[in-house]
Amino acid sequence: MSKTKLGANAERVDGRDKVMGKAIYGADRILPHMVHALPITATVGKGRITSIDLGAAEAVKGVLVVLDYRTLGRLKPVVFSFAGGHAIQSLQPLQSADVAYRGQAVALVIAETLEAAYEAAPLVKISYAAEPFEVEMSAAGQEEVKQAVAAPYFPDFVHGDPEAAVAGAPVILDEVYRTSPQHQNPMELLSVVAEWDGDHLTIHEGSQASQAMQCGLAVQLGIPADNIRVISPYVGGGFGQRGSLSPHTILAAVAARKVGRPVKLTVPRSQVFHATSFRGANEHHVRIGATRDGQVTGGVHLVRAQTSRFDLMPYTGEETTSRMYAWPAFRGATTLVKLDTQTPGFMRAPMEMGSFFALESAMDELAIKLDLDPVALRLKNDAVADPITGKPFSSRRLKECLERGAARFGWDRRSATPGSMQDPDGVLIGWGVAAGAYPGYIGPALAKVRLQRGGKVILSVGGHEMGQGIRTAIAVVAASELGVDPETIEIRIGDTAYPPQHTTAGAWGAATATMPVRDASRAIRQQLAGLATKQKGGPLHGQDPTSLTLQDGWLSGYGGRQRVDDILRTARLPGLDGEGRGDVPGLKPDALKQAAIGKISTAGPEFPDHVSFSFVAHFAEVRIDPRLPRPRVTRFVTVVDCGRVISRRTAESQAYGGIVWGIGSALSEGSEVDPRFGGFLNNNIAEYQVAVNADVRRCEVEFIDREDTNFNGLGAKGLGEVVCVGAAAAVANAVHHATGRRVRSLPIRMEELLA
Amino acid sequence: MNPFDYTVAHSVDAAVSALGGSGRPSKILAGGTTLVDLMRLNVEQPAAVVDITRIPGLNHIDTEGREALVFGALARMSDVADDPVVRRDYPVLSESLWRAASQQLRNMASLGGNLLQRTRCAYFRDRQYPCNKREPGTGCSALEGLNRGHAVLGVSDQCIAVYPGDLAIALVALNASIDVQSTAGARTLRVADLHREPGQTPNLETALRPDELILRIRVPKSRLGKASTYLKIRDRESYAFAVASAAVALDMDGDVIRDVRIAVGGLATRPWRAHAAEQSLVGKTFTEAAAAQAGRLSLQGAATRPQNAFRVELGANTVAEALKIARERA
Repeated sequence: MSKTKLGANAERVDGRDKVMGKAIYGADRILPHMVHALPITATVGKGRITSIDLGAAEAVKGVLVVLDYRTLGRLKPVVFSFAGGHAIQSLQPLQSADVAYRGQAVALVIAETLEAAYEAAPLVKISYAAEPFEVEMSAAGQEEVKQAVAAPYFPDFVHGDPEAAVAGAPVILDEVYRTSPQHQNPMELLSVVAEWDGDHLTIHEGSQASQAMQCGLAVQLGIPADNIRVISPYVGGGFGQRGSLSPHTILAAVAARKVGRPVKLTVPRSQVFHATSFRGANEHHVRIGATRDGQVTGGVHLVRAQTSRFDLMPYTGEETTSRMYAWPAFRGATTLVKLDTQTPGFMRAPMEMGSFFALESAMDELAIKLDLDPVALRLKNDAVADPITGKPFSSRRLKECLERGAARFGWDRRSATPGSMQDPDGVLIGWGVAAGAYPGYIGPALAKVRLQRGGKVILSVGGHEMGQGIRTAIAVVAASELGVDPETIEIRIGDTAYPPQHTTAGAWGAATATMPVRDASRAIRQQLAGLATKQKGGPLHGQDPTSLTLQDGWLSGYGGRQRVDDILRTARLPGLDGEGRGDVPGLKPDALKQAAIGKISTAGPEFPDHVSFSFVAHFAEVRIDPRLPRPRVTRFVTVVDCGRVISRRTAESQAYGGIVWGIGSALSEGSEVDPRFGGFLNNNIAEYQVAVNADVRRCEVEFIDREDTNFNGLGAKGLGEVVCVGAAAAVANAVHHATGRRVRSLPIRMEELLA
Repeated sequence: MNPFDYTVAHSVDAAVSALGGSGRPSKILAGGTTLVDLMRLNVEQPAAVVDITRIPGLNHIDTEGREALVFGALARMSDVADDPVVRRDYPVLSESLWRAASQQLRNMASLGGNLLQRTRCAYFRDRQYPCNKREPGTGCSALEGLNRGHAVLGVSDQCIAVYPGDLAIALVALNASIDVQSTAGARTLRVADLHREPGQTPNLETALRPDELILRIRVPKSRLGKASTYLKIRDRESYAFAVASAAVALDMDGDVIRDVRIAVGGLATRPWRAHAAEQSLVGKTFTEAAAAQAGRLSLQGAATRPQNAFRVELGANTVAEALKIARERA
């Protein structure tokens, strides 16, 4: 076997299991005596339950019980994750007669079969006293709060006197940009199997945050966290939807305790739109001042962002827009608008999708005002140091991203005038550029690696596999240290029985998990070398332990080599254990303890000596028939500065995914709100339109692939988020270039582009 | 989903008598792609379901006859779409089928069932909203609601739900008919007469009797088939319903239009034949201006709402573009 190196184009280590159906997801569990639960949801926009008639539903054959707020039992208060807790929202299901939003769970049918549950659900008769509500940002008289006042952990980003700097500039860009609510819609539905054994609870659920789920459930149930095990080896797509504890999980747990049998609960697709977090609507008021030759003098980025009536979901997009260019003065501030929905939360590029659609559209508009090439404008304003803190960047290769992307795309052949590039049949061609950045975060992790006699490697660490390829990245790192085939390593992640399972999100997964894995693997190699060089009569006796190499079960040195099994047998050891914690600058000393109690404890983007961001440049080509103006993205070139690439194949897949998300955000994705009813109307994946294969044509991805060892020892920065930052803006800018139409709200649909 | 009686019919006679016999609301199960979906949503709540998929001889594709193409009601969408004669001589039919739904759905869905596909109106598909089609007299939520996707042709003050199918648009353009059978006997009706406009009774969608079963679809053979197309305009490139569509077939004599058929989809409450547009073209030289004029005439009488007003221009442009594509095939 050839040696696996960092950056290897290794096959996905779980690919075979996934296509063979051997990778077991949450709801794949079928346990003896298992029963099924189905939530019933509120059909008013807000109000109060006035009566519940369960008679007909409970009479359905196979129905065990229907629970509602009168019978579920009181849960202990769980805390919203951004208020320091574990839950996607503080409002818990089935706790009172109050209905906060349409689609909120108000009852739960538990039945022997899923069919019986589905038969009974419409027979539950609930009457409501409806109350007024607001679900639109644009409605008058909403309740608004200044984020920096109401949630001081999330301050404004300010330096200098930006208002004056903009007002005094010879050229001013001043526009408002809007984005629709969006839903993550991973393929795997929210689903859980809950099982009690005495006072111990086991939860099988695809999660990005199994420790938070464990600890949050412990709070809700008032039992020790040690009595709960959450098992989440695979997730069928996370995208931020599963970053903390959602309301359905406790329903399954309580139901299983009530009926004394394992309970499976799969939230139907139509309910998913109201069952957990989503991307809230945003409004971005962007003001940029510039000199006539294109130097920005200041920026003001004011955001109105949707939150719920009962939680303050922070919106921190200006944390990154404030660092994007060399702003001599800047203000970023958020106003939260309280609407009657579930609490919004994370969705891939959670703050940056909207904030960079706004900023990068504005930069495009500014370039046109200045009669400057939009790539040149961005290069001219590239920042050397962080405008907010004055610290250097751990690494910043945005310039290379733009230059390499422009070269690969053929940007120099672009004719600047909108509508000036056409196919022979009159179809308009638009070329757009946008850049993006995403904060470099890193979290705590503990890795334990065991090398057994016979060569088996068993590895456990905090992390969740949601398709992004973290298992493969981990395996590549361990394989490169231990000289084994990545596919032979047994990887134990996403399980609270193993080391702390810190939330996997924010593009910090690989950077967080791989360093400890490297250190733990390296510790084993060092132990082996230490043993072999001390084993008298052995072929490696007396050699310098640091000079030895480990590959395919052999430890090799100058003029000799020895089997690992022989070393272990001679030492009378069944195997060796290594432990690693990584060494992460800026992480709080108690971060791993925080992870063990289900709290998010990341460092970044500000570190003691630097700030850290990943960067990206997108170049998009659209074609638009002017009479049938549905924009189609025909080419995409994306160049990413994510530090060192650890696992090339999964990295490229993540990058393609980011492009696809950008296309969907730009052109089709949007959750529709009827203000008369509340909730989300297009609650299925036929009408909520993510991009499909036919919408994605030629995509090219390039990595700068230069290590950033200021950020971590492996030199890898985050990738999963940054690849989708700015992608929608590149499409929107291309649409403008093709048509001359500037569309400042997403998604861009054909009615905006008709003559 | 409610409990229901499930019967497998092994013959047409058994099917129609099962449909008519019980006196209870019964539904035919073929591919199941609409019915099962709507049953899961509790929008369809039949007391009995009659499975016709095991009736022999209903899935034939016969393109050899002199008079007509004949498709059994159980022929699969994907099979008809891929039929070599259909693809070569009647591209409008093939395109209307393979531009519908997804490959998985086309592999399941039957031709007869596809004709009876029900609207995608979100208010219709969810029982928590008032809907005159689902529950007469409760009101139409779409009139003042989210109606970007709703009809501009054939609408009433009771309902503006779009007929969502694609195949029926092509069939109407080609003067197709269907053979149906009930306990009262057999009859043939034009596809153009199959669907009803909502009027004051949007709950009544077709001219079929409750116990009537579609047996086959007949498409008269015609020189119009070859120079034909189904152009479907949608928000994403695949797996989406039409924002506007046009089925167009041309018979050219040099540059002069000898005969033409135009039907529009995604814009109307039923498959919509544009006779006035056709008449404007017959006997005329084909020009872009004439095609554009036919497009505008195809949308004559449109009644719009603020969110769907753009579809008049879009629909007209779709027809004009489809005419150009068909012209290139002539």
